[in-house]
Amino acid sequence: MKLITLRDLAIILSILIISVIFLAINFRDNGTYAEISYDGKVVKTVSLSEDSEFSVNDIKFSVKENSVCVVSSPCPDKICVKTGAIKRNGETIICLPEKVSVRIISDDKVSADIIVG
Amino acid sequence: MKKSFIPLIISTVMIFSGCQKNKIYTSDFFAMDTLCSIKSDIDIKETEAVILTCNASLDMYSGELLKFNEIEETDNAYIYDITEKTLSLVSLYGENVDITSGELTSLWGISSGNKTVPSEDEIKNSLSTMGYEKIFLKDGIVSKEKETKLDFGAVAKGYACDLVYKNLSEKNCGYAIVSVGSSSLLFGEKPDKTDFKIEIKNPDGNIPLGMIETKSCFVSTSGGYERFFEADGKTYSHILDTKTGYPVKTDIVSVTVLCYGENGGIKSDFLATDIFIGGTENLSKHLSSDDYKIVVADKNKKLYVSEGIEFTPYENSGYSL
Repeated sequence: MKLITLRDLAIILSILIISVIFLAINFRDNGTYAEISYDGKVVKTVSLSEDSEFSVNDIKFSVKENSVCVVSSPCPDKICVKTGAIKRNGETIICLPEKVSVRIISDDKVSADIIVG
Repeated sequence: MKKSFIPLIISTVMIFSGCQKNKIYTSDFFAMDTLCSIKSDIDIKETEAVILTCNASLDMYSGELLKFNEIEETDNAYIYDITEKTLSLVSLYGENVDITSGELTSLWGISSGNKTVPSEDEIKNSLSTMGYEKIFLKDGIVSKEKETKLDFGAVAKGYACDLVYKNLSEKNCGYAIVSVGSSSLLFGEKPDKTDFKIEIKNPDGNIPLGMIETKSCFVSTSGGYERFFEADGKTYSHILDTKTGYPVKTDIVSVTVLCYGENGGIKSDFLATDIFIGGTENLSKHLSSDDYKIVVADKNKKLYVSEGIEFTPYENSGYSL
């Protein structure tokens, strides 16, 4: 009796391949993203690794040097513009009048559970 | 030969299921005049409803509070409860936080987006509507003078966290992080059993002030820098000094308060505003308190930290102990 049959080898190989696929799925999206939400629902996800400019509901955003900021907004108080650029996991920009919020999402394992202040 | 496939299939399923993380529910929504976010290991629909119901009673610009502010009496249970709890905090810590300041808040246009500097006469008029002697509690009824307008802006977010705490305890929730704007609840124990990590933003820079590591608690913050507004070339804080009627003059730029256990939400919210208004000259009693912990930053870039709190200041934040 052989120690390993061809069939065993095929099974081991296929398990390995499937595992690698699962690993790849788990590790994809590695990086830092900005999630833009309207009324609590995510409407856009943008990578911070590439500079870009875009708008959501008349609010203009800019991604530069791995951070995102609100460039302009039709809201009266401009708190979202004054908040400035954010880049750390969990940081947020909130525009209350326009019901738009931005949150940084990253895989950073050592980062805080919550950012306050 | 066929039999040997069964353990193989079982082990394969086990390997792959190991790749899946425990389900964590999250939700973001606007309520209590701010962004709320919930993260938990149990279904959070009910938690969301707890905050929204509370909001329907306590929001100054809609719902029950708006109605009550035009009349003299209400039997609304939320308004009664939050008023009662605020009064007991006032008797302990003083009147820096004044929930009868609704008229003054509207005058300055805080929260409504209409930001103008009012005239001296207007400020005098609204100050005359204020004061804790103008509200009464009896048999589930809150009564006040008609002109007096209540504003729970300094306590409602923390109070909402208390209601969430009660709900999560009843449902035997294992772990949750709930933020209602400047007040948050860190509930239970994280899935990896480590302490909760709270990072404190820098009021004027990119590098945070530092990191607090803590067991389950309520945390509230106060600072003048996030909701300031400019008029006639001057910058004004959104926190009003209810004695003068003008935006508060304080040497504190950031306050973080941690409270523990039942009703810690409203307490931390109240204390954050109270300490901010009080300035560094009134800090010593807060720094030595046993039942709550604080981290404060002042204008001179100095940090004040309670004993017995695990706080690691970050280098290069520009602030130091």
